[in-house]
Amino acid sequence: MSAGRNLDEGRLVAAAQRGDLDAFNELVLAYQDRVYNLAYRILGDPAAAEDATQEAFIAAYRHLSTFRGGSFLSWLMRTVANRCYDELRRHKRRPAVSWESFGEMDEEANPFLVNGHPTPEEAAQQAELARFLQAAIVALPPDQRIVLVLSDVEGMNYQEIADTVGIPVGTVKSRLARARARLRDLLQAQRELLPRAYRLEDED
Amino acid sequence: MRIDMLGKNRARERVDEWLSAYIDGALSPREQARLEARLAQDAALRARLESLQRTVALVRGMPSVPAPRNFLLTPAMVRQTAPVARRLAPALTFATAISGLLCVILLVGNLIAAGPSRLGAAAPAPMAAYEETPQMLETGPTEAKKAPPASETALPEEGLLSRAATATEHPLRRCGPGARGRRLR
Repeated sequence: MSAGRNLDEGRLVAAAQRGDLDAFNELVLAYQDRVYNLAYRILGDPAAAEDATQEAFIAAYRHLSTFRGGSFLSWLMRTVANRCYDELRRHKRRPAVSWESFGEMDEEANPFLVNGHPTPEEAAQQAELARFLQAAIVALPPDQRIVLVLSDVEGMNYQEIADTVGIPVGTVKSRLARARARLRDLLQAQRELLPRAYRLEDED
Repeated sequence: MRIDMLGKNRARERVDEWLSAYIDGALSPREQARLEARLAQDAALRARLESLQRTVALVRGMPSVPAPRNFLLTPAMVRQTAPVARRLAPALTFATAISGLLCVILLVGNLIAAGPSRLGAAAPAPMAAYEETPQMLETGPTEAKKAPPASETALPEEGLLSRAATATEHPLRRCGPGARGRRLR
């Protein structure tokens, strides 16, 4: 997990730990895209992801004294992942965005489609695929979803995920396998909605 | 039949677990060798692995979503607002101390009102305490029947009252055993 841009992370963290808010805000600017992306992938809702991102930065600043060195970004990502996990558990009974409602999804709910990038055919196809995948990820049970996002979006290894979520490595392995298999089954079941270039064939 | 289905599902889950770990390079060398030997012979398993690999590749290839705004912190955002319990802590501590002190005074008052004979005596048997209560409460006829004759319980009560009469007037005297009986009436 490397920094998004070149910055003297150690110096900024040390200054922030002494109460220098400007130094901390430099870290915010450097990492906010990563933090927001993680929150959005886990929660699947732009507004909830914004809240989680802001709260994670506030919590991180307030608990800077507990940071004992190592990668600040990893520590920050654990903070936001935990916050999202708590949020998912809090709203466990609230139905997630349904996979079936993908076709009717409000375009404004998808940041890919409103980020102002030019939209040639390929970019449009990728955006559609990303939208499709996000709907499928959000259709996963929360326990599987967070493990999948930490692994395949954030690139954490099994041990890092286990530390972040607070479960044994064996559970990470089985949840990740179930999440991937379920995602594959969803993509195969709805493959006519996928752009032709990305359709998964049924292996049976 | 149902057991067969469950067993089949479990077996599929185990295969997916192996394939998933294989994609991450998380199998032991021995497990990996075994799986690769099976893959070489089993076309359906190869297809299953390929579809899983494509799924993982699709997720890994998703573009990053940029932050829609800046999340810069202001001094007001990071100001610690103490929770209500913490803000009330000094008052609660004071109240606890006062109530503790009152308890001690009450206990001492009780012991003084009981006098030296009570202090020196062994703790009353539970039955004796039980017998004392109905009289103090002056309960109905059923309890009165169970209560021992007045002559048996009058003595300690008299002793208490006479000692209370001779004791120095104490503001907490009303909380003594006799007073408790009266208050409960």
